[in-house]
Amino acid sequence: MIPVAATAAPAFRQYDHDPSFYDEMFDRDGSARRHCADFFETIRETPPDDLRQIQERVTRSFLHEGITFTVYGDEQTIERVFPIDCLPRIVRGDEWDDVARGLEQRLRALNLFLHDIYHQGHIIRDGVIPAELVYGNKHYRIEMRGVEVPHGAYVSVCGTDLVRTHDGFAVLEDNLRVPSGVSYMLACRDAIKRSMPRLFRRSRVRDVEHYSRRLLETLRSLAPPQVSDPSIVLLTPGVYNSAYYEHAFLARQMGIELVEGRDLLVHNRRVYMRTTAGLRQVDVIYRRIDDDFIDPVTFREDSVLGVPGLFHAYRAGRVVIANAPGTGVADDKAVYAYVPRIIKYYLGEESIIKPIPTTLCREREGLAYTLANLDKLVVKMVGESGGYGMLVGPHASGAERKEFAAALRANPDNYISQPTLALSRAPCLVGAHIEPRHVDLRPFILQAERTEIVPGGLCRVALKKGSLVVNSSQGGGSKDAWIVDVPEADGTPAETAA
Amino acid sequence: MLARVADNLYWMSRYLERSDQTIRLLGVQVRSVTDNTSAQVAAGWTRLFRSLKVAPPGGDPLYSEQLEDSFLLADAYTLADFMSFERDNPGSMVSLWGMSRENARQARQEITQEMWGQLNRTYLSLRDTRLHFFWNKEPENFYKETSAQIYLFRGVTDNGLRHGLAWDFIRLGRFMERIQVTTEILDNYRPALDDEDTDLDWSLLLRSCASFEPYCRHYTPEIDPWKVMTFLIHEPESPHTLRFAAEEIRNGLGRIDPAGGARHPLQAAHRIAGQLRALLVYGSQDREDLAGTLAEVRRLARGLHDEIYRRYIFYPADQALPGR
Repeated sequence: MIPVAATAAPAFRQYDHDPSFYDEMFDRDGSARRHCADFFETIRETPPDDLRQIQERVTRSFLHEGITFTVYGDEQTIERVFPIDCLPRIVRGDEWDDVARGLEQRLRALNLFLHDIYHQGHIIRDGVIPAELVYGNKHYRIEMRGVEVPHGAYVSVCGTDLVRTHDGFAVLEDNLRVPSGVSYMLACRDAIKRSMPRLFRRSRVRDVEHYSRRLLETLRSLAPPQVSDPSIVLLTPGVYNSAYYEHAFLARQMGIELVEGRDLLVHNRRVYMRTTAGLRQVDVIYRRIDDDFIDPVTFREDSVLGVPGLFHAYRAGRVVIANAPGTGVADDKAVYAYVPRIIKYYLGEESIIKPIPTTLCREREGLAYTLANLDKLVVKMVGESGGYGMLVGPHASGAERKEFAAALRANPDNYISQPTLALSRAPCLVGAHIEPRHVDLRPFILQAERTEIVPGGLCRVALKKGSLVVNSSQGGGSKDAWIVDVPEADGTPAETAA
Repeated sequence: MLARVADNLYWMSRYLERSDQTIRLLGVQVRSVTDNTSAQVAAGWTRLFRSLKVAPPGGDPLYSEQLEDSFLLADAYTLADFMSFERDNPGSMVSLWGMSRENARQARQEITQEMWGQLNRTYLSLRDTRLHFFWNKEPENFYKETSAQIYLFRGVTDNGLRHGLAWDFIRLGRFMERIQVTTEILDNYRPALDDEDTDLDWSLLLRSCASFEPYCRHYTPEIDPWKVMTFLIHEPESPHTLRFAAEEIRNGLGRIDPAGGARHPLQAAHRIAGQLRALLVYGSQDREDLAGTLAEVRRLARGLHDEIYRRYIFYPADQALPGR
């Protein structure tokens, strides 16, 4: 059904408005939501061809700026642009403020949790979370026990995936290791500003451009106290990593060195980088490589990406690594189920952002429930990310479900299940038409001395019709997310826009 | 600056300079098809492949005499295509741009968005088949326009990038490559000086070295082979002469490491750069010393590259501890 508001608009002719999903632009009966009204009016008046041209320009500018990922083919390597949709997702400012408070609370609790499990482990002794979920987790780093982390900020850069349903926002997963995507958020915003400057200005969108400055401040505040002007570097796996563009982008924005493992060496528990003028000491490492590859002496021996001896320098307090090693235990899919209890335990507060009810298949009733409702649930493998190892029950064939059930029975510890969420949908440009597609949102949270959240995030889109998987490796794209402050109800604009 | 990144910038720049030289040689060569006899054209191809040290398609690289006969027969466009678009040929224009871009990609934090954009855009357009069509119709114009993209890159570099270490290494790479390729080009024209029978068009050499106009300004459009040769070696003010490159290299090293060129004992790289400059400023300009001069330039330039690497890029860590 075409939304009533859009019946006369050619671009919306194929818009299938389905009130069973929350639509980011239209309410249940198909009128434009008030905070989207102005944007909608403009888009409605715009010929679809103009929108397509905007889309093409944005895509071309991404290609020229090298915002690409590489596909290795037989004949030649192809560089593809991360698909971008030019219609922003618009979120109301007051709703966002609640989300931001919830994100801050959540990360504060998770950092306390990490400190606890790498020290006394009160939460385990108090029986709030089973010991084997923590100590048996493959991301638990025994080497981190007793290490003091500046400001208790094990996770200083976090990217949390949020979804929205009719019931409001919910956390899909926390990314506490090396979250990526922030450069796409910034590049999307930049491209959109250039493509629709007037509409953007009129819309009173909150700024995200200060992210890099905040990130740099966060990293500086982690430096050892005796260092007045810390030398900060970003450690990348190198040019073949799919997020390399982002690493270079952030290093440039912050004016810090982008180093690879081979640029660093450890001598006498100090870390140095090789410059053209000799060795120079490094104080803070914003690392964008996984725990396993940080230091071949301490972690994976076969790693060629890391720096031998780095972890010893870290333990000796001569260098800070952000995020700290061993944070992966807290964004584990099984630990996810305990986060509301973790928040309650450390902060004595209820979780502000609603959790998604999660069933652990490691528990006998949980497994039975999951198996009995396989056609209704989403089942996820505990150690996986990127949308792999996942069954979306309602979308799977009988054979796929049967196959998955066997795997589940063989190793129930490895799985959790959640109800299939009616993920919200937002208007996207598909060819020459606007159609609804499922979206999520990944805001970025910085935490050290204080918490900083830029208002916005990477909005990921499942570009395939009906698909719920937004990961770029599986046909996802992205769009800009606008946090807008809505005019007062009587129609006078709020005084937030200068 | 990180030593690895200096390495990337240096090579980014060398590959781009090499591509510039290749484009110019190809431009001259496709022009020669309309202006010169087929024997001259064939000799031109031989010089081109030898100067760039690239093996021609199907031929044994090391330039047997029969090769010239095969160049007489080969379609000029086949050879130009091979030097322009053949990805399997590491010396082709597309390959050189690809290498330059790959190095730039690893030094992204040191170069500006505009530099990267210019390099990337041109590279992507060179791989676009529509451009191939343009090349096929108007090859000389195609080379002119591609050359203009390099000038644009240099303009963007000089006007947007801080003139600090990154800029110095980019410039160093450019003139190191220039002095080496130009020396090879000159050496391949040298035998023709003594050949009474040759009908070689020496303006081609000036055009190959982007020095036709500077030469005409300095002398007259009257082309004298020996004057052309000494001009391209010793003239101090034209950016494509050996002397000019040597001055730039020496000054660049002085900026990269001021102490190394001033304090006793002088760094080896600085000593060699000084010798190179002295040879081209004060060295013999006699005809019988020409071959020796070119050989010495070649030797010093190679040694200089090695010393730069030993001192600033791949130095042993224990010699460089610590310093903040």
